[in-house]
Amino acid sequence: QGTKLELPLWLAKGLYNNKQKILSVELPTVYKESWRTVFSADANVVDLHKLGPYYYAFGSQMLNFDSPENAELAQTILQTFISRFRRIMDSSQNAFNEDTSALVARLDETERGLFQAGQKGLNDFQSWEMGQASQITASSLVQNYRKRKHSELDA
Amino acid sequence: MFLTDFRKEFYEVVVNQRVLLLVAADVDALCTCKILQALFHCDHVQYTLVPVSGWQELETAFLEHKDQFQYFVLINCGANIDLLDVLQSEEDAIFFVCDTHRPINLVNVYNETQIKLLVKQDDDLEIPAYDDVFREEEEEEEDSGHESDGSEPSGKRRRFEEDIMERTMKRRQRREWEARRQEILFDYEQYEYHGTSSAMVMFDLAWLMSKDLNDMLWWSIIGLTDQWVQDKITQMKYVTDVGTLQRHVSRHNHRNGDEENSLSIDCMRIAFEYDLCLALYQHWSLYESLCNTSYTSASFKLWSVQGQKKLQEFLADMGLPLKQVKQKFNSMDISLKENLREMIEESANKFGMKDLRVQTFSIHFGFKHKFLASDMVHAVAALMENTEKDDSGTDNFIKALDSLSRSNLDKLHQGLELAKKQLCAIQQTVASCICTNLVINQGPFLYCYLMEGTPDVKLFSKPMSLRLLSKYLLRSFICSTKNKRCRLLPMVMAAPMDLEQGTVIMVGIPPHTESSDKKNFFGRAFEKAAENTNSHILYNHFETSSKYAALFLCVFICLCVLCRCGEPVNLTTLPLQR
Amino acid sequence: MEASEVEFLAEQEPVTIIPNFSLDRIYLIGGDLGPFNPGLPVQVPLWLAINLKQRQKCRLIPPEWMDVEKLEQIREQERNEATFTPMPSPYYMEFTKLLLNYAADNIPKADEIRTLVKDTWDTRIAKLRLSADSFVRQQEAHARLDNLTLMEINTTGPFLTQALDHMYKLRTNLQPGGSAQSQDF
Repeated sequence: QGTKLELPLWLAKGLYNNKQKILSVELPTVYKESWRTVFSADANVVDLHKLGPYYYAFGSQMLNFDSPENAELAQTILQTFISRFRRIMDSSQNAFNEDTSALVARLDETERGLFQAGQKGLNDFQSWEMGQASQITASSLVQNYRKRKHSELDA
Repeated sequence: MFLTDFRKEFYEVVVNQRVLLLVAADVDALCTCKILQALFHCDHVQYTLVPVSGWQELETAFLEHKDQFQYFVLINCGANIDLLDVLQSEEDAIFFVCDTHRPINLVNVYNETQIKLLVKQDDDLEIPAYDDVFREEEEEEEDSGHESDGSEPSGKRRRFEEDIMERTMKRRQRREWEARRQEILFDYEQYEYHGTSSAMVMFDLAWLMSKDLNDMLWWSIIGLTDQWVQDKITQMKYVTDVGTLQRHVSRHNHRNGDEENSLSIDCMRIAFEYDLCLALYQHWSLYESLCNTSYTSASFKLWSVQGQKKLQEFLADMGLPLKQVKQKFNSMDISLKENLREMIEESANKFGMKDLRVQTFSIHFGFKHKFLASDMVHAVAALMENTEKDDSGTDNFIKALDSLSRSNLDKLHQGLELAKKQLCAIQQTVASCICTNLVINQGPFLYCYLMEGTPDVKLFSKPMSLRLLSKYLLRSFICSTKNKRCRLLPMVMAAPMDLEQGTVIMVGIPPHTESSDKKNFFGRAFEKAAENTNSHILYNHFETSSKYAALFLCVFICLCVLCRCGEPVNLTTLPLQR
Repeated sequence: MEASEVEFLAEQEPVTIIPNFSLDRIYLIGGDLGPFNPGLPVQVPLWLAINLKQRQKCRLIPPEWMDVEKLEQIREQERNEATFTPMPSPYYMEFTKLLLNYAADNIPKADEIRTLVKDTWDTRIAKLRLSADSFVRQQEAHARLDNLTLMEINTTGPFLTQALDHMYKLRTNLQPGGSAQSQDF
């Protein structure tokens, strides 16, 4: 009792869950008060990937442990996302045909997923505009339908 | 037979059929094929395209496909041989032959049912009259019938004498006719030469059907330019045909200056130019182009130290800084480029190069793409005879074909790079041949044999490259030699073709003179020589027959010494067994 | 949806052509076409028009809005107004691309038209991004995006919906009960 241990999240969650509260959880530094002020000052300059590649997901999980700071934590995470949103959108929609590694270096994994989605939209459009769009194929539904008809005929 | 109405007698016949296109491997044929393909696309004509590089390939391709097709279109092959005999075709097969090779085989000319020639008739074909060459078979039977009459009773003696008179008359007539026939045939078949570019013929067809596009016009320009680059037609003929095409060009491209109705920059424009005949200079540096163009390098004698000095003098005379001349033409100072053509021409005149500018055409589209017709020819030819990779001939053919469409610029640029390499190799080979006295004066003709192991010898195992090389070599040799008689001689050149099979490729070209009519007797000469050795003929490369022959070369040389020849030549290639 | 699929939809739109051949009316599932008479304008779907054009069988008449003056007006309007202005055609981008690529020689001042349409497109996309940002910032629940075309929606759609999904999850965190749900993700 009273010892500090580093446990994986899944284990801590398991131990915490069955109402016995055999442990209390200390928030990781990133989610603490001091960093929260940093995020509220300017979330754009923070290297989220370095601080923890799963900032949003992990932060959301931390809310499971009823800490008194929960409300503020949730608010910070949301605000961080909102303030970083514009930058992700702009960079992902404008970086065509260039090396994006510098742009995504400071993004957390969720943000990277978003960035990829934005890039896909842009790339699709650009390749269409240059006439390199892929051939469209009939929907699988239509194809299957036709196949079934054939097999029925065969029978 | 010659077709008069190409549209009715050719296009409307094949338009609802499946057609087999047999296309020879030269640039003009490629362009013709492109035009025809475009027409076929418009009307959804089904066709199969088979590239053929020689007689043998033509025969195998025909054998392979003859069951599936009734209509065959032969492009730049087939006119100068007896097609039906060579291909052993069925009765119902119909051949449309669009070919520049002359003379046209007379059987082809007078076959009314199966052979249809798509050939411009205003070329002076000098076809002998039918009666002079062919005789009905019946007459011979009649003759033999008379002979059996000889055993008849004496009561008819008088008639018999008359008969004899008649028969001897007939025989004499026949002998005379035979002799005359030989003479006529000899005159007709003696020289090989080329007629109007097939691409132009095909473009005329497209124009007739008002389906002519700017792209097609450009292809026919390239086809014509190919004939000029390969030295297949006379300067006169070139200028006349350029004139014809120029009318089409101005008809198609009149919208350029029109402000209200201006065309998109992406659309292709063709422009008539009076441009420098420096090879690839717009894609190279001016310096390298000057060094590697046969005309300039021969005039300067660039293989010697003096020649190099002369080139420097020339550049100094133009007032162009070396740094500018040696960098990419595209990056040269705009101010220098403005009057470049006039400047170069003026200086060239001082240095005795009077024909540095030629009438030609160029296209531009987009903001940066500009190509001269002759550069396209070099690029496409280089792609077709690419020896760098071990691709099959068909692959290279398709690549070359693709490089002609505007959407495949990367292939064209690849071709331009290959063409540069080829020109450099030619120039180096020419220089080394002249410096080491490899060109031998055999009396009636000049002769040069590239040894195995010569650098770039592999490049010259293809007909077009070797032809270009020999043309350049002859030109340079004429400038270097002091012997005046040498300047009027034709040239034979040989290079190893396939080391494993021990075959040699040979080419004969006409003398390089201003008045040359580009007619070639080497075809017949090669044939004769092969006949005199007991060797067996292997037809190849569409230009003339050729043989595997022991001691062939020696015999050929002896023979040529015997038959004095001063007249010009076409291309002949032949593999030679040593 | 892919851009080429949007293009496929755009190809159903009618355009006017002047054919140079004659053909009786043809009956297709999508509707009857023709009859075609040389020199007489006729309306056909864009896909057929381009096919015929590529085969040298017709001349295309550009749609009325494909005109430098009109497009300039549209561009100015788009720049001046904060909301999206209605476009002359729901497939203006696809039309411009297809017509300029395959029938540039039938369209006067094609290059200027290309630039104008692209300008308009860029303005609209910038506007779209701006409104997306303010939408996220103010944590609105819904927004109205009138007059957007399919192609425009298609380029930013996947990104925007994914971002909004994500934001929704973060927002549920705010509610006290939300923490229980968040286990699942």
